[in-house]
Amino acid sequence: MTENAAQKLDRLKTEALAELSSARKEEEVEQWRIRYLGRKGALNVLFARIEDFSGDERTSFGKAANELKKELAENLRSVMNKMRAQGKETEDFDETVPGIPVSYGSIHPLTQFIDRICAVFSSMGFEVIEDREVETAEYNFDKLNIPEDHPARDMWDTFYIKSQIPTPKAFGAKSQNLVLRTHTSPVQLRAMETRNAPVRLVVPGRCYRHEATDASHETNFYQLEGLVIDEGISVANMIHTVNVVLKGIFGENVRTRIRPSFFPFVEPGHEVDMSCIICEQKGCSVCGKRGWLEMMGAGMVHPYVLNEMGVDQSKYTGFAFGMGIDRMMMLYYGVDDIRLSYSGDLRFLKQF
Amino acid sequence: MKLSLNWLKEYVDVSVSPEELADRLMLSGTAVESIEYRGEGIKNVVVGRILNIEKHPNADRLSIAKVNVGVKTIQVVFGDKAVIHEGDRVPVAVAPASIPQGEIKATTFRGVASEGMLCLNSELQSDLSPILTYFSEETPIGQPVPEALGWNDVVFDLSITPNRGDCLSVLGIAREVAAIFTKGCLKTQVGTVMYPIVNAHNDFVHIAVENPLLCPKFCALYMGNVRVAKSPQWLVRRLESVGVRSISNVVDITNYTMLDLGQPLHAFDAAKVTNRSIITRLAKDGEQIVTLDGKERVLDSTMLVLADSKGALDVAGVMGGKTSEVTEKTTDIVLVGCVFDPSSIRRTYRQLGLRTEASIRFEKGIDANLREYSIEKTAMMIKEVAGGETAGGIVRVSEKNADKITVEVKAHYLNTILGHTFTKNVVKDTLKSLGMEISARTKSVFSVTIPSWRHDLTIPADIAEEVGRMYDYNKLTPTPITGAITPPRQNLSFEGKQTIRALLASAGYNEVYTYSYYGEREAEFTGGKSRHAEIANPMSPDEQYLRRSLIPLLLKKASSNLRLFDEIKIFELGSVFEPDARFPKETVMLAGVVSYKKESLYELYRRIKGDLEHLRKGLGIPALSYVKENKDIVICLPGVKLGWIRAVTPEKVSEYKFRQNAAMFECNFSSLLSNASSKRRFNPIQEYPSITRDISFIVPDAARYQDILEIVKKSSPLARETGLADEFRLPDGRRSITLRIVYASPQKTLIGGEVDTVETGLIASLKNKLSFELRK
Repeated sequence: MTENAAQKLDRLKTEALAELSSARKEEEVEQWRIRYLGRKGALNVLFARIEDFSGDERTSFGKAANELKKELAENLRSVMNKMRAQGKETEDFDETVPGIPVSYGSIHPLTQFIDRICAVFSSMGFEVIEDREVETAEYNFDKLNIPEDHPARDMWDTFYIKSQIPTPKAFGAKSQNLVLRTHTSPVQLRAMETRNAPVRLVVPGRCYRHEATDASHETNFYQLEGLVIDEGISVANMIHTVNVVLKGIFGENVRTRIRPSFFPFVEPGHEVDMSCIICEQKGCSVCGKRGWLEMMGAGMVHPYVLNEMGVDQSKYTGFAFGMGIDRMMMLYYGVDDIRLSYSGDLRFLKQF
Repeated sequence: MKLSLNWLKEYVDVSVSPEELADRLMLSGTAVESIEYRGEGIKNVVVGRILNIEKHPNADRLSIAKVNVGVKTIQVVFGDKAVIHEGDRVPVAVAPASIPQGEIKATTFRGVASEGMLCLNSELQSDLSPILTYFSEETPIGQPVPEALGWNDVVFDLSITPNRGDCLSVLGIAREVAAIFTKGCLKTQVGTVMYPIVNAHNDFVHIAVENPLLCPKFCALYMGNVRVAKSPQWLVRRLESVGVRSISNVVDITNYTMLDLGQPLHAFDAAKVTNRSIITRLAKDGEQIVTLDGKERVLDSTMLVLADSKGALDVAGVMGGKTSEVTEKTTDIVLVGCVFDPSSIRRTYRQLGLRTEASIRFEKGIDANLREYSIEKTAMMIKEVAGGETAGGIVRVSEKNADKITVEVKAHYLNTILGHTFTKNVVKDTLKSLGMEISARTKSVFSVTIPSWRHDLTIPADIAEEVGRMYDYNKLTPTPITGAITPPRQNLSFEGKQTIRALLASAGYNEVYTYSYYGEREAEFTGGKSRHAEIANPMSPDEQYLRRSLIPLLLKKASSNLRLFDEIKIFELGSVFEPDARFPKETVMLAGVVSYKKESLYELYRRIKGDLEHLRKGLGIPALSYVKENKDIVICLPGVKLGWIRAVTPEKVSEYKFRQNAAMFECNFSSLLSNASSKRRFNPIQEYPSITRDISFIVPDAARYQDILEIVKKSSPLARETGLADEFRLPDGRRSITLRIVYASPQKTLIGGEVDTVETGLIASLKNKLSFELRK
């Protein structure tokens, strides 16, 4: 090997090691690798010149060059290892880059809300029950003390189902007409066919109302009704229960107010108001500046209905209540249009 | 129902503020929707006298008036919405003035100064019509208009529950207010009748009842020489304040009585009633009558009418007839008041689609004991306002007065149901203030006699409500329920739904709610209209059929979302309906739609299958199989078809206007859940390290993964797991797959050589049996 060739190798080595030791970032090291060890790097350029030599010189040049390559590669590895071990490079990233998204879907806000309410009731020993959505007028109305020829029937706007098979005149009683249930109350009647007092039940489910839709009215909506039958059950028990439940859902600070009202299946009947959670009773557009929001209907189960349920009235009394889930969910999340719930719009659903 | 505070004050002294009155009414069961202060927002609007009128020099439709407004004379430019003459006294806003719609300032119209505005009624009070009030000569010039119009009043909008028909009158609310504030005392006594009453007929009028069950009471009174004319201002305004338009003095007075006492009355033109003889009877099938609204009605034999010998005069309890209507030419009238069977009236008005103020009151039951009084009071008002005289007194056909209803209430029951111990005196005083009579039958039982106007009080619970609502429920001490502490019975289906929703959400699905019904197009998409249960009175034809599948509406929602998103995963868990013998069969289904831009049907299918496997695992279902049947892939458990998967190009579902491929699934919720299990069994963790090998093959298109799995399984017990690591097409179109196989032994650490042997054998079998070619 000529002096010249050996010098060249030495110089290359010195330069390369110096450069490597001054590299601070992984990219710089990578550029160094390409410059010296890459396919068109300095070492390969040197190897290409092996043609210039012959005999022993060629052998020794080749050997020296190979050793240099090995040495540089070893240095490269150790520098890289050190660099990685010290984690120098990790401090320099842009901490404002977005995280890698997790693809998680969403559960409908009404479902979430029903689950929340049911959890509160379950903790108080209430059984959750669901049942059919197409009902007979008998279960939806008659057995609930809402006779056909009574003005109370007007409290419900009803969808009727075309009968599948023409009923013979004798059975053509209106009570056997099929309806899309207007409330979940018939489920309690059916539940009591297989249960005996005392009971604590809640019934969530979809109900139907035949009326024009707007921001606060939908033809499909969700209701949750409850029933408690036991010895000595009173209005005072009902007030305590709805109080606890509303606090459980909307927070400890809410207050409740009871107003007398009328529902054919309860007597006495009540309307339950909750202090406005939006304005804390200072008066706002949501509560119509009244400070109170109508939350549910309630009352002591009417003796007629207790009788239909086969409850021994000499021993038991009971209360019932019903709330509109849609409205509660809207209040809770600040949703301003009930129709969004049934729109399937992912811009809405993905927020929950 | 609207209630005027001034009108209320005729019956009871109310000294509290309107707000407090509203609160007290609300807490005792009369819901107050709103309080309207009449004349609110009006300032500097006075009675002005028009001195002279000129045409506007620069505008055809404008005129200029000089108006005396008391303290001064102003110039006002006005339009052509009302006809005005010199000398008229009209409402004038004297700038600067306020009306509910805004401020009135002095201005100029086309070069002519205007120092105010002539105000139409609608400009002063939004619920009034756009006409001008012409004040009488006696009205002082300069008097504020709200005062001149009697607008120093407060009007409550009340929402009366259907059980309280008695509250659909000023008297009824007055009784409530009196019970709250004055122990039930009213300023005015009602009920005493001075007119003579005779049975069935006198010299002037004859009445008869064919069906006493449907018309238990019928009263009539003849009046002659009545002058039918416009009503006096006070009457017009009073009716106006509660939203009733004035028609003529006689009609207005009958309306007044209805609003005042809750007693609907009708005045017939006596000259148009043959022989002045009226009978109540059932209509004949097909019998026709033109009602006061000018419409011809066809009646049937379930409907009650008032009739003379020529035919029906009036649809009983619903609306009068045109032929016997009181007009300006009328001089003699017959005032009629009846009691009808509430259900009969309800059936009739519903069948005719004619829900009138009268029918609303009749269907809720009116106070039968107030019929004669209401006729007398009406006749007296007519005399005063329209002149005329009664003749012969009241004629009446009546069932024997019904016995007074008495309800017996145990004090113990009352206290138990309310959850509070009331003293006997509190109970008695409360009930007395509401018009009930109480006698203590025994020490512990109250015998309560119900007043004739309270048809809603029939059982002890009703009496308990009266005590509770007057006491104020909010004063009761909330009391926890006591009872056995046991965990509630579990609802596995409800909990299963929660689990499924959580699992699908974790797989990136968004839960959607759709309507339970759809239109013809969706029905055709799902097996045809005839296979659907149908709604008799749908909101629209698009909402006529109960859904038989969740898929059509989910596709619709998917399609509309794809305008905003490239990738969607949605699902719904809901009931579907199929016609059955009696009830439609209801089944809870789980369905989903998935669409990712540029993904092939095959890729979308793999996505859904992966998601369903995630669900399966989460539910603890041992295994599902997927079997092609026609275009669908059927999801199966041994012996059960759970549901199906389908992947489609946009053309296959052209009605949903997709622009990219989509895939969907639907399966039966209960079948899925019935195979779920929350039991988990631990498998010991592999003690010895495993070796993972990837092998790539070029494979025939027809090769099935299921066959590969079986061959791998047979190749050696060391091959523990198989996966499809990669799959693509080579440039020449051939299918390439990479299998990832994990080898492990429960007894020892495997060495490379052992795996090589197994692998060589496996490659050979795949080559032989499935014509695989090893990719280099």
